[in-house]
Amino acid sequence: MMGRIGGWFERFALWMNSIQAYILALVLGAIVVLTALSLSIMFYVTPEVGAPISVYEMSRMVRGQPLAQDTPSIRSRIQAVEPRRSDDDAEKLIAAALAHRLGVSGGDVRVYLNDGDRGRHDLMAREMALYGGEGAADPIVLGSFTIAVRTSSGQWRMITREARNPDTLWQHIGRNSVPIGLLLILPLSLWVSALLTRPIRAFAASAERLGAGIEESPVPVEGPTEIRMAARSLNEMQSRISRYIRERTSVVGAIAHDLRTPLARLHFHLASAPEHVRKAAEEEIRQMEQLIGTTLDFVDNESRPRVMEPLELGLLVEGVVDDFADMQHDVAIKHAEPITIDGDMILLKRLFTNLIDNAVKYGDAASVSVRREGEAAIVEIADKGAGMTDEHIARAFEPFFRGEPSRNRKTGGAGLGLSIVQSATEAHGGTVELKRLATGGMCARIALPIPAQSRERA
Amino acid sequence: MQLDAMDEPLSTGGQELFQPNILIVDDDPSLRSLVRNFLVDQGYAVLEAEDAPSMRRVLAQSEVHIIILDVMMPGEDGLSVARSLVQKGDLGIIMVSALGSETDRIIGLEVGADDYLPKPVSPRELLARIRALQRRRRASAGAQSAAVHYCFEGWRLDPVRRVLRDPGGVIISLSEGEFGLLLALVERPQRVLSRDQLLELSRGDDSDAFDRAVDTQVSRLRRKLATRMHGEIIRTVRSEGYMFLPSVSRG
Repeated sequence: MMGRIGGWFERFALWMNSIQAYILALVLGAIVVLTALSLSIMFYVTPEVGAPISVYEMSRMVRGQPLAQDTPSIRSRIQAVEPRRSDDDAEKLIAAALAHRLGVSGGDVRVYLNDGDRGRHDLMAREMALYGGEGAADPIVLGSFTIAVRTSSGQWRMITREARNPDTLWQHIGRNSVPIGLLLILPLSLWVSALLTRPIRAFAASAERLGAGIEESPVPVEGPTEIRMAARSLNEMQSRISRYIRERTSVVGAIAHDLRTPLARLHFHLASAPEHVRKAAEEEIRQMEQLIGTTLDFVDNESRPRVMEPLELGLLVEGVVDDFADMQHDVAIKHAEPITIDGDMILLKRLFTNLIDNAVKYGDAASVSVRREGEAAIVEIADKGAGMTDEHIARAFEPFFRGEPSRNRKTGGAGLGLSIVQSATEAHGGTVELKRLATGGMCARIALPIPAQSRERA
Repeated sequence: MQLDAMDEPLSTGGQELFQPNILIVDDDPSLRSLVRNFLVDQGYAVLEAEDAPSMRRVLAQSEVHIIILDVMMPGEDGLSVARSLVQKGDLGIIMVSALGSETDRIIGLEVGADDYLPKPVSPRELLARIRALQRRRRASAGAQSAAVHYCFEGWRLDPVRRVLRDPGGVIISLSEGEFGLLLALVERPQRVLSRDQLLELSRGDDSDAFDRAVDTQVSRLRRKLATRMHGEIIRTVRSEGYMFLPSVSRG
């Protein structure tokens, strides 16, 4: 029984941390906040103070007598200047009724109304027409108004009623409830969405680093339940992969040892062989060694931890080109800009050595350029060879694929060069493509991202 | 035996007839005996050991100057053996490994080996490296151990990783030949080095990679350094050679 409750509780705790629960909480929270806002407006916003005032009450105001309902916002002052005459029918009607009540001449009373009350002239006229005969007509004014009455001294007494108190905070809130509601909801939803997306983004970033092979450490298991589940399975996958890579590395290392030791023995056996036999056999050994070396590079590329450091790409490519030029190959640098990128020096040297080696082997010559294109560093290596067919281009990056089935001696290789190029480029977050040149020959184009701080430096 | 080319006049004068005792440590018996026969033919006194314990027995009994050490051995591997030997000092260590990658080379040199050769090593190359090591040991007899880094004007040069960094820490990559040349110059600052001396000092082995004239490489080196450094760095001394001007510190 306890176990079942415990299990239920555990499931509930898991659910509470899920994305579903977060979204539900956000929606409910928004509803609660908005409802609370509207309710508090209803409760706290005092209605506009202007109770309707009848012409009778106006006459009491002029005489200085109290009204049944307290209206605090009445101002009274004396002025010598005669106020303007009104030509509005409603104002004239009220002024006449008031003059009648006060028992003064119509010319001594003026009334000024607000727009709303002026628009109620028809109603007032009807009231006067219907009840006026019985002396019971007492039209009311709803909003603000000003009464001007000539005093015995010939000055004018001005009485103004403000229908509305100065705005209170709650009245502001009441009138601006939509923007204020948004203002309250916005931080809430930003907070919740940050809470939700931070672990997702962190997860995506770690997954990407794993994919690029940069990081060996596992993806942190944190955040909503769904993300935790994904992180856990990703980590399991990662540890399976690294176990696999470790096994493969040790197997390949053993193979390399077992192949290279006999090759070394062969070298020493040959020391006493006749010159022409030794030369020929040493060339065979060199080719076998090259195959073993490339295969090991291919494995090393994927299993060696990357060391990303700022380096000068233009000079790195130039250095590789110079190495080839020093070995009397037809390799030239056409253009090189100084571009600082973050990279693994060994991997990048291997990358460009492989591409230039290909260009020299299959295309007789290599012409190399390094330049900046927006946020990417572009390295292009063009050759003068016969080019490749579309089918070969499509399969060129497959491990052990060789464009030349003849496997002839001069160009022989393991078919790993371009696979190494591709994995090294991807380890740097870059891309590689092969294209045919209009002039014949192939061009390999490498694009590597330039980190933000060195873009600014440039 | 076509090794006449190797019997070159390396340093002029003072070429004593002293031949060092060499100890070969390798678990492959037939490679061991092949190397021994070859080196004995070259006039060296050669001892053998098949693993770390037997190597230590030999060292306890006999005088050894240079050890040729296989990295991949059963039991204690070559790297850990090299580490223990470096602490004793005064032994030239040439490591030989079937793991010939750049990373493995760096690890080997960092544990303190004097040289690192990938298998399959050819007799010519092994001999060249042994002789180069003899030369270096003669030149620096009693001197301090190899510097970890060379520093000049804020730049750092790491001879093991073969990396040059500018004052901002950015890696300035050079070709093999240029790096060898710069290292030779930096190791001997404010000294005029002739073209022949530079060629000999910068040539790591008998590779063809450094055949291009020293002048071409010096001018390339100057241009590459000038992208990040102002002022004269390498001075041409007319009809004598080149001199590295900045002062160099070890660190």
